[in-house]
Amino acid sequence: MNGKQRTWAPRARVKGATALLVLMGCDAARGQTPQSKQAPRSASSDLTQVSIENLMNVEVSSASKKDQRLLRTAAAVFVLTQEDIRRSGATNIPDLLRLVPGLDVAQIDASDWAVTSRGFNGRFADKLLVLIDGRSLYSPDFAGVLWQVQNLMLEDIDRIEVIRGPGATLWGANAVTGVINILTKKSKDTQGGLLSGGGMQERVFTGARYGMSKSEKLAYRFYGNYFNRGEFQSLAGQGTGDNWDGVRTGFRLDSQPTSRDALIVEGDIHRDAAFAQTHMAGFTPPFNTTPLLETTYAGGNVLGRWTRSYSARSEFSVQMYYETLSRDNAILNVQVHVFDIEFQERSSLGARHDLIWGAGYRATTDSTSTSGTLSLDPPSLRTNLASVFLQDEIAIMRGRLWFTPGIRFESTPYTGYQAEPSGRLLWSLSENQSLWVSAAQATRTPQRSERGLHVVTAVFPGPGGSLTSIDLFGSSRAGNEEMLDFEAGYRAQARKAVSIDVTTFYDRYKSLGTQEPGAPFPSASPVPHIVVPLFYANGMHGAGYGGEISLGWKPTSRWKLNAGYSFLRQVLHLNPGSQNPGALLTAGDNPRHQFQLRSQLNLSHQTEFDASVYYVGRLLDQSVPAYTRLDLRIGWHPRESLGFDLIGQDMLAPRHLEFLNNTGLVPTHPTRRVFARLTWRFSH
Amino acid sequence: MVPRGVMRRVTVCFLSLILLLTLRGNLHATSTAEEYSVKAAFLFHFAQFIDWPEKTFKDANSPLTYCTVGNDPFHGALDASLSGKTIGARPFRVLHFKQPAEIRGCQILFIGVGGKRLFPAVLASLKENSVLTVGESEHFAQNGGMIGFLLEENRIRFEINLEAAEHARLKMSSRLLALAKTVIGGHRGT
Repeated sequence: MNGKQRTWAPRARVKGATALLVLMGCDAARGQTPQSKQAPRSASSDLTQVSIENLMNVEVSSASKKDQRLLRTAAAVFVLTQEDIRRSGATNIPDLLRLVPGLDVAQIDASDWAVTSRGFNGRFADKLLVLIDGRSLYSPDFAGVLWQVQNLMLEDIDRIEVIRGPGATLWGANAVTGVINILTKKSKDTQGGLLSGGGMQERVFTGARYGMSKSEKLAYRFYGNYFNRGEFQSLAGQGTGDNWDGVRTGFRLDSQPTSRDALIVEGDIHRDAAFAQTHMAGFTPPFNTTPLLETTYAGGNVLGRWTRSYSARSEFSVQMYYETLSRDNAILNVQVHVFDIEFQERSSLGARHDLIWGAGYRATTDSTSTSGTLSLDPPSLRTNLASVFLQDEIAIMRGRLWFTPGIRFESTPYTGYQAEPSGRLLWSLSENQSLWVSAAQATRTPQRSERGLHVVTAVFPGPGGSLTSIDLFGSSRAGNEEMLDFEAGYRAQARKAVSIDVTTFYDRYKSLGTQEPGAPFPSASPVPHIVVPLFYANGMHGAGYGGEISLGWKPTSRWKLNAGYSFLRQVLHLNPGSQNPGALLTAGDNPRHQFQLRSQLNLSHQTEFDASVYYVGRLLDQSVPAYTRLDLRIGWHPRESLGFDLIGQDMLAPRHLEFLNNTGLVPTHPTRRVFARLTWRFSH
Repeated sequence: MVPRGVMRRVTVCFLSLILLLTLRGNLHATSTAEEYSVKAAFLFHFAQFIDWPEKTFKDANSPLTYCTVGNDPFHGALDASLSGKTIGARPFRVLHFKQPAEIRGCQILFIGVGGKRLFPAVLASLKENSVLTVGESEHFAQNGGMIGFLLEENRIRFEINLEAAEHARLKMSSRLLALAKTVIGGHRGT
């Protein structure tokens, strides 16, 4: 999982659009160089004033390369740039992901989100793999991503690459319906200082970063941030008390000891605390309650990666990371440690083969201490995951047609060996148009909870004071969920002004997760009662189809428009013998239509006005109505180093609901909010 | 559910857009102003590192002419970069040619990725003239061009085919040769 190579296009070499800042310190051309009769407008806008030696250090914007790479990629890829991130006004990663056509982002309460691609959304949406700089965020205990602990400085993100559809061959298990790669900037692109902060209805958020370089060969940065976000509201408009706060600090170091070697070391520590109204069952009246529960998270990680290039088309890298995360509340206390190492090599075999292969190993250990209503068996466990993969990009007709077969073999903690093959075909119709088709098989593996959980989900009093509880149990029968995916796509780029990206897919799902009832039995603990057990199983199958369209248009050099539309329909069935009709409703309940329109307008050199509209279709089985979200931003930067933003989010309604289902939480309503943000950059 | 009519209209609009994009013959190479502004600045500097034979220019005030062939890959960035500037007393001039056969009076000729197929015809038409050929397609310098741009780690590099330059009676300064990623042929150090 390597941000450098295993980005979505195997040949991708180029990185973010940071370009012209490099010029700030460059000396103008002197001596015998050609002279300008005009007064230069500014040192940074007239590149001819830069000496040829310094021109060679100028990083060129990757926008065109990005589009060219997209045109060479046989997958449904969308890239969010730093410009998109800055101008979105978003203050957290899930809100940024709303910008990606085809992703389904729903906020459950102030600090919990449900995020997925192509279906199966939920608080623990488990078929989407998310990585930051090659470190997996997939939670090994309850699956899914804990979005509330991923509070990076958004200013440090270089880009977010989103792949809809399976990416299991390159990224491994659980990259079933999508992969999100969040890539942070190189240290040399974050030199000098940055202070940002803001507040108002978002309460307060601040961040500071400082970057330095020792020489051409070594650069680093440190950052720290703090936020405190306010509560949402109930349907009636009452505050729901689900405020949260977090503090985080970290660093990144980039070194190039030789011209062939690159070394990255980065790390973070963070602490977050969030209140949420949480469902709790008890054996004394009032039995089922929803207290406002505080969960505290504390974690840290460190990652190192060494890359050696042999030539423009071959290199190898080794990456290692360690992460620890603890989660603590009245129901559950769990501490997880993950150690991961991987190796990969890319090389060309003759003129036609571009080969990438690698191997990885991951050890996960956890320890839990539990409450009366939730426990994990055994309380402490170590699991191992090992995998190897190979992918070959074959130029069938050079410059026109590529075939990319690949396969990954994985040894998983609970379900043994499995293979995840894929095949992709790319046809370059011309320099600016391409067509692709792909077929892939991806697997979601059961996590810790599906094997060892015991949770009392509800308690009901019966006649004569007898009690009945419904308990969910992990089960050794809980196995892999499988998806077979077929996709096709078309991309075109007309000049700089217009781009279009269309994808369509058909998926077949096998062995989807269900919760099957077992025979009731009596229990004496903690008080005598009857247990109606539910066991994790794989009793569902089905199919899904849909498509995504993304259009970009630049009517003038100062105005950029993006439009997106996505459609998704899933038809799910229970396997013979399954008794969990509720799973059909939970798993298949998606917004069928989603639409978005984003506008980025430069009113003057100093003023920007941005507006985004998102339409999200209704969730039928959850009775969540369709909603439309409007975000506005006015940005003013009197100097390049100084920026003020006024941001309005969810402007159309005082409050609305986005998600309801099966979360263990009482969903709350995001409210209309307005806040201000100040960003100040300074050099050494 | 969106009404059927709306879906049909969306589909029709979308198909027409594809058709439009497909039928337009002059689809350009994707580009950003930034990349080509940097390349234009390189072209501006190349002029000072090249000596043309004396008879190339009528006098000290006659312009140094930059040319492009095919669709202008700079989308105006070259004109903008050179506008109003001089080398000594010599002003710059930029000409854009559609066909290789039309090329006349150039001292520096840029062949973009889009003009790659024209390159053999361009070489043939330039034959004995002292024109600096600069390109950006793969193996441009190996294929007989004089300076070929490359992109490495997002930075612009170039290769020089000194043999081709010397054949066209162009002298390249050692400062330029020192900056090149590779130099093919010729007698270095002159």
